[in-house]
Amino acid sequence: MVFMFNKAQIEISFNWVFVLVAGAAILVLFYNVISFETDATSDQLGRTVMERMSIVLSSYESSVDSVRISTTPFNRLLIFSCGIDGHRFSLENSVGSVHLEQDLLFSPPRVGESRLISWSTVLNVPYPVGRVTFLVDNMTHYNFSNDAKYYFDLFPGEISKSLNYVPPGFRDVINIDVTGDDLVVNGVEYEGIDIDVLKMGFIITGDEDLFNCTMDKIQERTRAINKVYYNRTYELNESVSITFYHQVLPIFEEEEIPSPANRNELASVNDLLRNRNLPRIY
Amino acid sequence: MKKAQIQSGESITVVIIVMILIIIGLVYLSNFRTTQTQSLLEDESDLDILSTSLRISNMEEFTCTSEVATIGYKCFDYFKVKAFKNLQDDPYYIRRMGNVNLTLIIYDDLNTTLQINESINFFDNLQENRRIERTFYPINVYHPVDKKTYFAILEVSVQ
Repeated sequence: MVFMFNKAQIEISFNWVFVLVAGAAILVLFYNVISFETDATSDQLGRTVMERMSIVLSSYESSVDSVRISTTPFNRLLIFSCGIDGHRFSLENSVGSVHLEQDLLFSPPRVGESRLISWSTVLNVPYPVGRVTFLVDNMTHYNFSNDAKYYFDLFPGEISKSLNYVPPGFRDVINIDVTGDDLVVNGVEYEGIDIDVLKMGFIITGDEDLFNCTMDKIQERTRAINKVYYNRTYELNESVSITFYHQVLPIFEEEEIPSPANRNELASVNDLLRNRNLPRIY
Repeated sequence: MKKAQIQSGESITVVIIVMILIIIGLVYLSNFRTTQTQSLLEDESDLDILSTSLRISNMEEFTCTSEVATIGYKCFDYFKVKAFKNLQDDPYYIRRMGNVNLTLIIYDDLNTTLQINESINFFDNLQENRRIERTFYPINVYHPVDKKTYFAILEVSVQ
């Protein structure tokens, strides 16, 4: 019987096979390491961007009544949502989200891939409750009907807006109308409190769930800050002994945003105190 | 040893050495990543304390009323701070403030020297045995009854 391979040929073949197998194993190992690193880096980058955005959103509160436009476009898309976990935002196609536990932020569901526009204002009821931040971008357009011209005029000029006209090329369009005395945004009627800042928030979000998420936080903050104002007004009453302070204490005992009548009473008492050069309520 | 065995041994040795080099590289990379992550965490801790200080200085629970709006810089109302001290155990503020200690050190400026007039620890929710980062923030404190403005330092400790 003739053997096809002698010992030397087997040795050489075995060496090459062995090297090929080892090389393939090393390549697979490197491929897995690189894939793992790429995914980990991508996740980390997403987390870093979200954490920095969270800090940036907090910083918007510090400068009120001035509109800011980012100088460079924000290249990612922020997705804002309101669910069981509360008010959150995340990056599109990214794992994880940031919980906006304290931020009184009104924004549409999608913001980004363009220049960001933000402004903050103090919510007065009539005493200041907190700073509300509005966040939009220049790919979102607000289309007002003629009946909604009052709100059109309230809107900053830096935001894309128009009367009865929708220019092409925008990612999202929010339609605002007034029927009777009722504000209607994207077909949904506003049923909240008659304060312009809150109505602006409803317009900006264009989404009832997102608006209600922020509104719940505002109500919760009002309940808490009412206790501070109550304690302060009580101390002023003890120190100065003017009936005006005692008169408004029941308003702060209520755990909600004051009614229009109570707001008027607070405003008039505060004016009286100002005129008499006495410590004011707010 | 026979020639064939030596040749096989060479290949195996090369593979083993390459594997060892790869393992050393991965260990080094892992240590580098750990150091990088620690540095990142420290940076984020600094940002966190700055963000907390900024947030607290803007809280309507402390800021001065409209009668001192012309001061132009950060101002706390004395009576609001005292009022807030009574709400330290409020679950809303514990959740909102987090693990923070806030102390307001109010100074009397007598001629050229500053003396501590009053120190108010108006919020304390620090946990034991955890690292604390501390920052100091200059602030005005307005007393609405005396109608006087005092220089103060807000000490913010964050965990």
